[in-house]
Amino acid sequence: MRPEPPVTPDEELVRETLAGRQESYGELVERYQSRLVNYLYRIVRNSDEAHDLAQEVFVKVYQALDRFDPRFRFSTWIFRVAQNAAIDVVRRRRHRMVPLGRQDEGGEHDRPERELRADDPGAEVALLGRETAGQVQEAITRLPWEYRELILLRHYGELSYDEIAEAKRMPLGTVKNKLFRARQMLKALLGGEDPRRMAV
Amino acid sequence: MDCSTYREWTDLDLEGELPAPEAQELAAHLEGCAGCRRVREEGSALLSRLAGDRLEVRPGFRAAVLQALPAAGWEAQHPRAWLLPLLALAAVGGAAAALFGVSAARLGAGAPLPGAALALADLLVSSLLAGSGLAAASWRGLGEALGELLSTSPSRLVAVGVLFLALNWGLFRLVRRPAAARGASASRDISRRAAS
Repeated sequence: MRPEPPVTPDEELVRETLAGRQESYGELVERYQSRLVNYLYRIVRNSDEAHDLAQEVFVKVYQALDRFDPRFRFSTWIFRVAQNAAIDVVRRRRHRMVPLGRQDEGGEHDRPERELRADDPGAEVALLGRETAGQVQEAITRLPWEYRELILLRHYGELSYDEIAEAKRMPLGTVKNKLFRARQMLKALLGGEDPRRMAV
Repeated sequence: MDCSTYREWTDLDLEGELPAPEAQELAAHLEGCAGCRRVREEGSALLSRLAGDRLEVRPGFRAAVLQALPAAGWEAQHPRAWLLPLLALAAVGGAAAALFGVSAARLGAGAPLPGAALALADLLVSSLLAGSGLAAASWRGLGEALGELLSTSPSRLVAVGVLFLALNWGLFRLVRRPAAARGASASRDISRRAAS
């Protein structure tokens, strides 16, 4: 689950980028693209939008790179920017009219069911896989935000407990406790229980 | 210690966040507690489900991001951004030094420095006048006006210099701004193209 420690620290890559080596920023993009896209996808729930938003986050971070405080970690900074960007999108969306059709269209995870043919031996497996992913996604969506954001940072952003504590400005013990409770709630949701009983 | 503490430890252990002494104590407890073993299996299954639920990043995403990066404000502070102006300055300085050398050589050894500087200034003004003469030959009105400006007073010469620099600065801004805007607006198109 946890990514391998990088050969060159992120902060060193930031320094190199600021010194005019743009390939170093490419290395940072490579390191964070999957984590960022997956994290954002769980919030905006649309593959195209998650990719566009991830790209915007990388551009925003690049433009503000000279304001990066090396006392903190790059990972916590970029995820803070990403979270703010995603929340803005969700807020804007609330102010718009909601179409009657399906919202999640266009992404690889969002392909319509008609693409799966009944005589395709992989169809059932693919459908079951998507069902499981859909159930997990649905369960995460039903978590209270204070727990959901930690689950997303940990399991899709792949941040360590320390990084989450830094990003959320929370004591490490609180992060551990909340993540434990969040996973208890997830288990209950996936088992058909009401998580609100456990959130208190 | 009761099972609820061991179950919290189990959660941390599955995440690799439990310190070694507690992990050993937990392992000993799990050997004799079927309930906690079941909780551990459930926790492990949940982590597998979360880990398996992944969206693939579009091919070419990294390249699209790099291509979409606009000129950041901090780039202008970088020494590389000053390289071209510095080279231009060095070239002009070199030319001036060469002219100074030629002037000094003409004056001969032992001539005073202000005299050499004046000779250099004369040489520069003569060059400009010659240039304006050429311009007058091709575009008579402009050439004459420029010639008059340069030959009458030093303050006019300074004014022309300031005007020239301001025009160049304005041109530089015009060239840079559309490039940055193009980069930002093209970002989404590039990303979509890379995906398709």
